[in-house]
Amino acid sequence: MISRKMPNPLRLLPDEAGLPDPSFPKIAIVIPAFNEEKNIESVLIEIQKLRAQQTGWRILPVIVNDGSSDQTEKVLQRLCPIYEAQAINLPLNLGIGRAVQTGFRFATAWGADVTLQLDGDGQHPPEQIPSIVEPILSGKFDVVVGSRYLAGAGGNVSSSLRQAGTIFFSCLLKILVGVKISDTTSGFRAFDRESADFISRYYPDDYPEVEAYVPLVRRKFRITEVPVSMRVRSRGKSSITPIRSLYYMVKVAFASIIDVIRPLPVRNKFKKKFPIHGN
Amino acid sequence: MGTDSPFAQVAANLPDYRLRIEFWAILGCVVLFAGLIELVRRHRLKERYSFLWFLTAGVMLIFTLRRDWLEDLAKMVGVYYPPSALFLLLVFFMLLILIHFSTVISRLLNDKQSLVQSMGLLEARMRNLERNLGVQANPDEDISSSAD
Repeated sequence: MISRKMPNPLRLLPDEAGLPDPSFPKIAIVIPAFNEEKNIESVLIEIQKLRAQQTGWRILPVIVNDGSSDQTEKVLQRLCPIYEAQAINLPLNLGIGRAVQTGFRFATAWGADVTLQLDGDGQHPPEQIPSIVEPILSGKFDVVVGSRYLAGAGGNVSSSLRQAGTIFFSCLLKILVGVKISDTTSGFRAFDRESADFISRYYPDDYPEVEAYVPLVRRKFRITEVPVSMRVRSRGKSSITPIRSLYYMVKVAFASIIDVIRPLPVRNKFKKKFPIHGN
Repeated sequence: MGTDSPFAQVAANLPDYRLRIEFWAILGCVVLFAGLIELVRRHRLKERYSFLWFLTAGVMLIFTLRRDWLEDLAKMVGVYYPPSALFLLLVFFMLLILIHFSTVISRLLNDKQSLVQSMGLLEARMRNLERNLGVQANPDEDISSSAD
């Protein structure tokens, strides 16, 4: 009874507010934010710049406030109408994996053609977004990872400890499923519709970067890497402290090994919209 | 134990009395390991809650295989009968697991309470929004769908 009178919540999105041709690709940028009140606006400003450059894209930033204890929620309430962004406030802290998955579920419901993750702390520069989105729009790949370690990537900003872990996981993934990923801890990744739909149904909860690969490879998604340069965090601390590193290594390695023999959900088919320019 | 009982037959085939308890302890540990892996594989047990169990099974297995270590441990803590030290160790790990689960339950309870509050607030906001939009909600609808 209510549902007939109430408008579809997704129709209230800025998407419907007289934007260009609906055949243009919908790009959802999922930004997990945990106590990022100081960083979030600069990220949104940069996305605004990207919008000005990529006039053929319909870009929707989806900021998932993962139960922040600071003023992130209030800041988002003020910023979202200005920057045509969507905020999702989680009443509890679910951790990075579940927060990102929430954004992916929203993006999938919105009908995003490309869904990508961008960290709310300013590590991932929005001007690099086209380089991870283009391989998906051209229809060559389903998942594109922004890598700091490929030739052509700018300055490497990660610590030696992180680098050692990255190499360890790189070898592990090569052995387990034969996929070659140089920057295994990169969260700067773009997904096409099918892989985003898969992620929105199956995603690890606490340390999702490495663990996500085994199910994706097993479900035959085509994964590639492109070089990107990342920045040092402008504010705040990294969530991975040296004390937690050992637990992180053990947990992720164990989960990845188990993932090889785990039952997985099916891969849903979507009508291919890309490549659009006939290439 | 009568010689014709199946337990006695199995026991008779094992070479030494000392090996028997080791055989069953090793079998128990292996079954525990396999069961845990299967639970994690089927998403019935999250990895983070399986580690203490794996640690317990691993320590038990090590002290079963290395009886000299168990004897050293028994001597160190003043236990005369070494297998008792194994039980002591087991009790220690059980306590550790129980305390861990108590903290997990406390956090879950906290989360649940806060979640229910958020839901109540959300519904209040929605009702106000509906009233302001002039949408007449059916008062029976939500109550009937949420009650058992």
